[in-house]
Amino acid sequence: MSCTNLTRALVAAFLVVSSLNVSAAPKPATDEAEVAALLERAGDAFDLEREDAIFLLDELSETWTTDGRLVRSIHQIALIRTEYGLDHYADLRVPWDSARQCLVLQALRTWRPSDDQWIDAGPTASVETLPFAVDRSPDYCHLRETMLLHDGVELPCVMETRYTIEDQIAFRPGFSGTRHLWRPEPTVVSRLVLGGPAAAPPRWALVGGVSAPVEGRDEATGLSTWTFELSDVPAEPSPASADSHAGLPQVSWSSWPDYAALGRDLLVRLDAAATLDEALEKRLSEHLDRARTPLEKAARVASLIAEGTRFVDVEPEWWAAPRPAVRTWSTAYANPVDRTTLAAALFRAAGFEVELGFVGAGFLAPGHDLPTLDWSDGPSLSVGYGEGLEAWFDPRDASLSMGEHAFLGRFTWFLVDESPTFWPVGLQRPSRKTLHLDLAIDESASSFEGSGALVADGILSPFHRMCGTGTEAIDALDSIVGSLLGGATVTAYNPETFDPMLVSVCFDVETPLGERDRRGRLICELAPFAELLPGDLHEEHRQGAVHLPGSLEYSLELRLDPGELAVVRHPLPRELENEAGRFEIVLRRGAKPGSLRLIRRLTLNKASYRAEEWPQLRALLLASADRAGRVFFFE
Amino acid sequence: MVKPALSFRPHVSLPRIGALLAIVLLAPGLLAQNAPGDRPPPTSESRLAAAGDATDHPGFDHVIVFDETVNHVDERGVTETESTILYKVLTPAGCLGLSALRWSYDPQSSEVDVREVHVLRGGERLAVPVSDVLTLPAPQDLIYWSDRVKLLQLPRLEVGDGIEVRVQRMGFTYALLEGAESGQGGGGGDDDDRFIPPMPGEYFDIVLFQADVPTLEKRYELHLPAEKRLHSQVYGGALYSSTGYDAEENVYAWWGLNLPAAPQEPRVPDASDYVTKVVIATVESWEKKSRWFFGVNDSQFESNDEIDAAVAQILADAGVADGTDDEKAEVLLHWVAQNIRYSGQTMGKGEGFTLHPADMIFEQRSGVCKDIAGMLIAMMRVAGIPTYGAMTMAGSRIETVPADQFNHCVVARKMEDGSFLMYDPTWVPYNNDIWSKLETEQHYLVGTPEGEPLSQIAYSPPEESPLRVRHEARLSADGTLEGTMRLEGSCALDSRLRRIVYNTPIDRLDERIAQLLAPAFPAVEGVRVEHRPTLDFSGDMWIELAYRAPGFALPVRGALEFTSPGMTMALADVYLFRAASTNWASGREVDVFLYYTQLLDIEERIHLPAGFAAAELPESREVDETYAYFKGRSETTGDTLVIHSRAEVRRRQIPPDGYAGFTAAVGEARSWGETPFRVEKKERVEKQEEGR
Repeated sequence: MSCTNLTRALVAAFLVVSSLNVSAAPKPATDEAEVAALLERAGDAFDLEREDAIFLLDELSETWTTDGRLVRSIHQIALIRTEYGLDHYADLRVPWDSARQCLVLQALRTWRPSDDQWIDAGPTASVETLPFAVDRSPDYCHLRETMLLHDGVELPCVMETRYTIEDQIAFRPGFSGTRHLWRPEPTVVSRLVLGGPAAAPPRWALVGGVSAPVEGRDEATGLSTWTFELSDVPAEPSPASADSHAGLPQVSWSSWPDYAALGRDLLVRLDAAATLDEALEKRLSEHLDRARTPLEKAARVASLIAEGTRFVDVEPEWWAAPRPAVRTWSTAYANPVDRTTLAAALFRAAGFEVELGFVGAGFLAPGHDLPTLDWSDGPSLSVGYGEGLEAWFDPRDASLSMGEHAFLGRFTWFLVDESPTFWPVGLQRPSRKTLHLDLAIDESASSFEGSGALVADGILSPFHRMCGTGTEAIDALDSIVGSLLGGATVTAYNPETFDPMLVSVCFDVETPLGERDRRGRLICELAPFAELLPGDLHEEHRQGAVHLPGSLEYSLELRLDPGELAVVRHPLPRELENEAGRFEIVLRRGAKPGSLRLIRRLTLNKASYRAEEWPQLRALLLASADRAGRVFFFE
Repeated sequence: MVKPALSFRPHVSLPRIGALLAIVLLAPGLLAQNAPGDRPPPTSESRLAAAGDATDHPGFDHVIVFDETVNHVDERGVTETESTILYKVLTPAGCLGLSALRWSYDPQSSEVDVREVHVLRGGERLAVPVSDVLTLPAPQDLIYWSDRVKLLQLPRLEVGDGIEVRVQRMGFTYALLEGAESGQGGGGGDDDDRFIPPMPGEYFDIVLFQADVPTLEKRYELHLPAEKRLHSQVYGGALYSSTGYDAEENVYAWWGLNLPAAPQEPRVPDASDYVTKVVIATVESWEKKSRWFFGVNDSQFESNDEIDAAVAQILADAGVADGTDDEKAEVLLHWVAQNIRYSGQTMGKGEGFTLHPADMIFEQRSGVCKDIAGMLIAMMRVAGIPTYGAMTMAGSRIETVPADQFNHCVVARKMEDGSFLMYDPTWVPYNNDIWSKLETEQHYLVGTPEGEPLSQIAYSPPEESPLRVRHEARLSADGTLEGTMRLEGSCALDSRLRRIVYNTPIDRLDERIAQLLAPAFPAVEGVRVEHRPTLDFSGDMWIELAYRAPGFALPVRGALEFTSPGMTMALADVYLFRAASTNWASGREVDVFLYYTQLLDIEERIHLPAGFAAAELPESREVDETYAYFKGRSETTGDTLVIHSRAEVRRRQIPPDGYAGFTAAVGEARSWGETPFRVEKKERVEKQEEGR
């Protein structure tokens, strides 16, 4: 059936049922004529045959009551066409907090074209469940996920879902959020309604062509409303990434006057909870016994948290009070906020200075202009010790990393800052990673052996991975060298420069020769450059942009002495330059007979590549990945 | 009803005598009179002290020191169990893992009462207030009945702590669904009636004696009314056992010492297939169970006007209104499979074994396996095809003891010769089969008024589930390969191919297929895809694709080298060749469970560049083992290199003694996938041949 015919058929069928069943529909549900109109618009705006689902209406309403409560309503009407659409957009799992909120279901129904019926879901179709993530965490068991199950589904069908989650107590000191007006599928009407007292309207920021809101008034509550609406919104560009939504239509809003006010509130809550009792202080003291340096001490605090708390991956309501650090320790599990709070208490008790901070989830952090936290990846801690130590504690894995690596190329907000600031890589040129390897084959030892040097700076500096009190440095070098030459092991090393933004280190390395192939040849295969680079090279075309933390340059220089072995095959010289950057392979004969000098270099000029620039960028990455430029055969 | 004193007594083979003995032994003043060499009866503290530490149990964060269940079954079949379990924390991670305790149950058929919890630390018993136990809705996915959980927070644990838990359970768990816990009372009235099992008066259990950590001592004791008789058998290892009786009851006990953790290996069947277990049932026979299943469910298949009309419409739309029963059954099967989606809402009492009424499922268009099966039974009956409900066990074996070893519900069509033809609408969405080949060799029990014995689905040879890849390509002198590929799958592989398509957004299928090709062709471009519509069940699924792969062949001194694209692709994708998707360890303790047998049959015709010829024609070893086979070979026809690859997985479940042969075949397949084919200028090839 063609698109037009399908649309006509659906709309026609719908109009028949509308006339038959209007009185049967529950009042909070949408008027059938309106649904029919939306269906018709969907058919006009989109190629239904090419879509798994289309949101006819996608509406979020957030109302801030005069007594400080939030009332959030969701209203969705979706045309589901395929199994994929059904799997992704039916049977909604709705999270809420039973300790502070109530959930009221207003409409849950399905229109089935085959027998022209609206099927209202029965009482067993709304099922309150406990989130799997908290099923062994009693302190978080006030969280709920209510399943809203659609009855009577067949393909295609139209599903309507409407519910409200209302705060039962006023527990939020502020009101903020971000709403994306696009979905993974096309949307006919995407709407955001903000409501609140006319005297204290929230501020908002608009991105991606969203128009100023239409102001109105909710007669029932007497509150003002501001309605943002977009029509015929295309689907989210694919493949999706943390940054793929940057620039797409979205609205951020906040009742906080500025980041300073938000920061003060967060700090009060953190400080109130980040205290230790005698027993935990003693436990900390025992754990820090014999720690010799500030870094060793900090690492031990982090390990105490890692070993002492199970991470519970749930989105906390940050505005609700974090659990006291002592309680978190006692229960032995923590969500990101509680782990941050416990960490703040322990680091402070160990003599460190801590600052609560937030780092952008992607590189672009849309929506950070207003005082919200939606742009961030959640709370983290900066840990300092005078001039000697600056580290970053990530509560998700209780890891401690040195230097500024976590921030580079991202927006970051510490509570002392007036607003999130972009943390540039700080170089006027690309970040570079250059690896020199000088290897000779020792056939008797079945290995390549030799020496090497790594020079890496900016975002590619491995300083944060090499700092530590154990084997971090050699592990990081093993990993870096091994990522380009499989199986390589660094046996000794000496740093020349060791700075957060520049690491220069010489090392000894060996790597096994491997087994001979069926033709009796030894194969040495270098790996493509991969760090920080997109991996989905099979995508010939992309709809979304590619964002990197900055411009990048990778270089591998390999001097190879094959000894008694003959080089049957080696990478061939190559040069590819386009608007995205440059890739080259240079091959020279070495001074010693039979020896070779290979240089592979990839330069990416920019931090952001538009979708149209993907073919050029892909061409460079494919050139780097091309086996012809990476493999040696020896006999 | 409750006999808590028994749960703390020392273990002896005859429980009642043991209880008396324990009282005697524990009496003050008598303990000191142990004869030389006699050991005092163990206590939780002494067990904990003897349980060792992390060095004694490497790789484990805690152990189960002691696990005892005493089960009293009354004449109605109602069970009341007293359990005592003692854990020992071995590592800091063990402190985290055991920081909260959890119990699952379905309040419609069972109840859990947490009686006592103590943390044993340094000789002290720290009581954890059981008044803090939280009762909550259970986490649920796909099956949304009324399950609940109880949770208890423990105080901060320390390495070496013991956790002693005493729990009483009433009622039963029963499910035709793996992982679900549910059941039905025998009727209204008394609240205790909800604990009466589905077959009133009967009792069954499957008690596993191995956990995912070592168990130092586990004991299960069953008290049955004297008039009840019992089938029982121990499987998967040895256990101690005892039997005793008095005027009122028979007492059976099974116990084991130093039971290792169940092996943790990839792709294993259900644990009940390989851990030590005892299977228990009072029901007389499978035939009786069959009659019961028929009796409780047959009224659920009643049709109504809507279902009647739908059946007529579905058959008419498919053009089989006047067709054979085979044709009608197949059309109805696929309608149900595609239109009754898997999402189980509760219908209240009876969940777990009673199939939902057909009219309810027809209206909701969703349910779990039993409901989906029930819908098909109702529709087939409307079409005049005699059918019955049947129970089976997906992913595991059913032992001969007639206990309820079922987790799945299916449909049995009675044929004219009295045999049954099995249909499974739950497992054949997007599959043109009537019974998924992922369920071959499974046992099943049909519910009929006459009563049926336990039966088994036949073995399915790999030829029934082939993936045939036909690849036609042209290689250019610059190493670019351009071609078409057709993938065609039957039975199990029909469903895998359909899954690739229907699990992908409509507008992303080209990218999905490019991803499939990427291991063979990293720089693939120009991918175009056609396929049989996923809802067309008139034949086997096929996907045809066209592509261009620059840089495919590696230039080596004027020659071009490459590997088999078809094998590279198949080895990299779990849907195409499941057996190769796991990195198999060198040894194996437990059966490999792959669900289905498979034939992989790849033929690739690569037209060589003008003036080029194959330098040699590699051939793999032929690995022909009991459970798997592989052979790869190549030949030339004119200017075309033809690569043949054939793999067979001959059983869906491979025992440890067949593992070496299985992995040898898979290993040879992988090796063949890495084998370079080399083409060179003809003159050089001819020269080389002359040289030979």
